[in-house]
Amino acid sequence: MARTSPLRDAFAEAGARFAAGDGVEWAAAVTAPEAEYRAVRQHVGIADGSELARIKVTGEKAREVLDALLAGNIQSLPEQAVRTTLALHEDGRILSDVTVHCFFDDYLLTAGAGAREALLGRLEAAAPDGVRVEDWSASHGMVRIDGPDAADVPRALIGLEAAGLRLMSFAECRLDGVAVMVTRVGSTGEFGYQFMAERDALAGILGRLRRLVPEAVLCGREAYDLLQLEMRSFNLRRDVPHGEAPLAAGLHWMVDFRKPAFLGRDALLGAKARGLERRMVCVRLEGGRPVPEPDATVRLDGRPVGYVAHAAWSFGLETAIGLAYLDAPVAVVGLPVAIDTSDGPAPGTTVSSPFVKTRSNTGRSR
Amino acid sequence: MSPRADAATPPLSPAVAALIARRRALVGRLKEALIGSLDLPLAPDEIDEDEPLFGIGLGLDSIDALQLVLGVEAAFEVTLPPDDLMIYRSINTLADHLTAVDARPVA
Repeated sequence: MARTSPLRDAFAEAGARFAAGDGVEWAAAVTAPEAEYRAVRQHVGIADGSELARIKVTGEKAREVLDALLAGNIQSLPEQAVRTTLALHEDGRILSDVTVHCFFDDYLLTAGAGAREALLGRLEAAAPDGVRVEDWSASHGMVRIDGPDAADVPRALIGLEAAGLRLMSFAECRLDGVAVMVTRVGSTGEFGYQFMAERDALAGILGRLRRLVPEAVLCGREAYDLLQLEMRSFNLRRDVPHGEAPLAAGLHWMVDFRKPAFLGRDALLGAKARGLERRMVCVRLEGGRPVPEPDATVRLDGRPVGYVAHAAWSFGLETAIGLAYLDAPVAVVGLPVAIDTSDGPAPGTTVSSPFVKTRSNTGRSR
Repeated sequence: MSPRADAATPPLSPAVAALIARRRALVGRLKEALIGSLDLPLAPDEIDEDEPLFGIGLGLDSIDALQLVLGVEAAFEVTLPPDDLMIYRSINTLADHLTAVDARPVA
């Protein structure tokens, strides 16, 4: 049976439609994805992130254990900072993106729900005496807010201890006597904050947020998939449909190439040395065209040069956008391409990310 | 996945081949300027062209930004605008700007 969120009742009461997979359930949409999307782009949206896997690793040697298992540099991660990196398989494929919160000697990892068992197994197998691995996936939950008007919410909700957080940092706070970890993230291109707490406290935090920001709209994952796509923020469920390599997906920044050892390093560096066969690029179709299906063929001068990984209709741009893997020699921005759709070849252009300029990034309305 | 082009597939048109060659040269020169001006311990193929340069991504800061601007201005003999931060988001957005103003790398 799928693990349910501590916020399930609140989202169900608001009309949420749920979906399940990887042993968890999530709200796919609450009102309508377009309204939810526009709330995040124009004001504030609230979403449930409780389906993620959460693992606490504690002890003096925790840093070394994580550094050996993850592709990023954990040794250099400062206290109260957050780093997004990758857990790889031995053959270099992606198990999951992993966000690491550093509490000096202790760490909290969040990762895709489908990676929970494998990550726990790897950590438990690698942990020496004195390092404790705890699964917080069911005992804790997380609610997130995103939007141009979200920047002042942590301070208004909790106080000065949650004010002025730098991107990719967090603060340990208390709200109504309950421990709350507030993390500033940026996957939607808007001001974004996550509030993590023990399961029983999460509905209370959601209630406080909704009273504080009554115009905030509850959002589901479908709207967030589009918000992330517009920023080309990595989406584990959508962006690597055929187990594409991390560097093909453009995730170079999640890897420390100078680290002498980590799980999957040899395969990753071997693929890099041989040269990438394909690389991901952004494609924007001309207006009014149908959204390409996953695996739709991308053509350049009529030649098949790649396939679509993930595409969607952008409510803001009023056109279809997507991520495609193209043959590496032609995987550049500025090319006129065509994508096979149900209505025939749809013309488009390879473009730079992000697809949109957000109010949070530019300080002005679009 | 899609079929691959094979020997029977006609070659790319000269116009498209030229677009690809120019863009690849531009992003290659930009990566050199980025790595050189900041003395980054990275090879060009260790930076994705869409990778954010500041904040999440490469993690550059405001001091790095100044060095980067000076490095790119020197490499392309161009003056970069200080007020449009989106230009500096990635190698690709820098390349888009340099393409729009028809900047060429210094020989």
